[in-house]
Amino acid sequence: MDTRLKLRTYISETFFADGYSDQASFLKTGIIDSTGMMELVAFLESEFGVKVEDHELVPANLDSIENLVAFLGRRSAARPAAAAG
Amino acid sequence: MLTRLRLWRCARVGAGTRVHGRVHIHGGGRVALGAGVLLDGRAAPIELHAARGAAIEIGDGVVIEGGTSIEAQFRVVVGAGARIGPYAKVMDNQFHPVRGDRHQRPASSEVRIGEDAFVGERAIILFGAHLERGARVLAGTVISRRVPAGVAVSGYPAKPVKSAAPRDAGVPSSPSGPALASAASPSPVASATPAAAPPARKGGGPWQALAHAVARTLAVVRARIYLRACHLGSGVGTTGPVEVAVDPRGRAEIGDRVTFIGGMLATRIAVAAGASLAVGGETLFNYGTVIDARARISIGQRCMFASFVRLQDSAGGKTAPIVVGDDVWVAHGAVIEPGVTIGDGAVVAAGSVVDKDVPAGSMAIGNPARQMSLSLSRG
Repeated sequence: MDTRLKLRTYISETFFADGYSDQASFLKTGIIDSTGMMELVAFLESEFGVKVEDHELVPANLDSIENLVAFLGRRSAARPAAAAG
Repeated sequence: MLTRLRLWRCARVGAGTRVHGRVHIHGGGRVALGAGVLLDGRAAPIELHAARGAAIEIGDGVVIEGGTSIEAQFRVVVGAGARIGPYAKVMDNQFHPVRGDRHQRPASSEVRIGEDAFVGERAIILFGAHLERGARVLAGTVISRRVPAGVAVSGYPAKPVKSAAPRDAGVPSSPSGPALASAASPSPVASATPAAAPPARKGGGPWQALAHAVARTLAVVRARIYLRACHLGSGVGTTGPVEVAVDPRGRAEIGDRVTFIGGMLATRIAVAAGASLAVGGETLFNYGTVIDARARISIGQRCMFASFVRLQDSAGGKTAPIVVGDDVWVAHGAVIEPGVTIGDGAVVAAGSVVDKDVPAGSMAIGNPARQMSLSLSRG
């Protein structure tokens, strides 16, 4: 399952939201609040094996499907480089 | 008959409903209890607070245990057969916005606890939560969303629990002992009002202004009695009992216009020999706060501490000072552990257990708490 679909499935099963755009802000549309954001981060860490640092807990990384996909993309791109380095 | 008298503030009380111990029903809104409800306030008081125009509806056969508080600014509905508590918190409003003017109350969002649902010890059910039929929110869990029928969730952040154990089995104990934390503080205005009186409204006439002035004077007089072991600034007030134990070799300084709000449980302050507590001006403590200084606890100005918050600078074999900056908001039931420094303007979310420093202007959330940007909250 690709990243976008995995995220949408999780959000649908956990926060019961569907029919929103990839750009929609979870916070502004009320799909996810700060308590839910912590649940989302726990999901990212367990499902995608990324360690999200506290300084990365910002809307630019987490507050839409698009932002999440980009964030996970950056993290997976960084990992091989870090391993090689 | 006695039960009905004790529940005279309720709009409706069904047959066979029982009350044990202390139950505080206040706020001027509508509280309706179904048949066969048990409110067991023997171990600790229970609070049902429906603000003017708001409603709390408790279904048939619901059991609510001691120390539990349900606060409605709009509507909280508890379905038949549900069990809540002990020391659980249910609220349909966070009372203060995370960003901007903290004295502007945000919008409410109905809370529904479904039939046969279970809310564990010190769990916190926040605005917008909907526990469907038979859903279980285990001890210490904080939740603000829908929990599907029959599903159990645990932790903070909450995770589904897979077992089909009996509803009381497998409940994790609170990692920080008696206090998990979270939620919000009732507004200073509403909570400072005696339970019997309607909430103060802005723009009231001269009589209301007079009543407010009298209440404030009484609060200041009360503070001089309850807090006599402390060095008090001017205008310190308490609207309910505060239990204070300051060792003669310890020192407690309470700044100007600090307010301790009364409620279902008294706030407790303890300062040990050689230890110190300093509280900055205009800081506000809601009921049931615990401040236990064995070394040093320093709190800045204009902070807000919600109900059941705990600050202990000695716990789990560690003793180290706690420093809280200015304009910090610590929401219901949060626990601040030894050695933690919280920066100016930070927010600690309800039920969080904070074991590391919180940078200024950020939000600590979870158990153990993580630091997230304040901009990751709805407002």
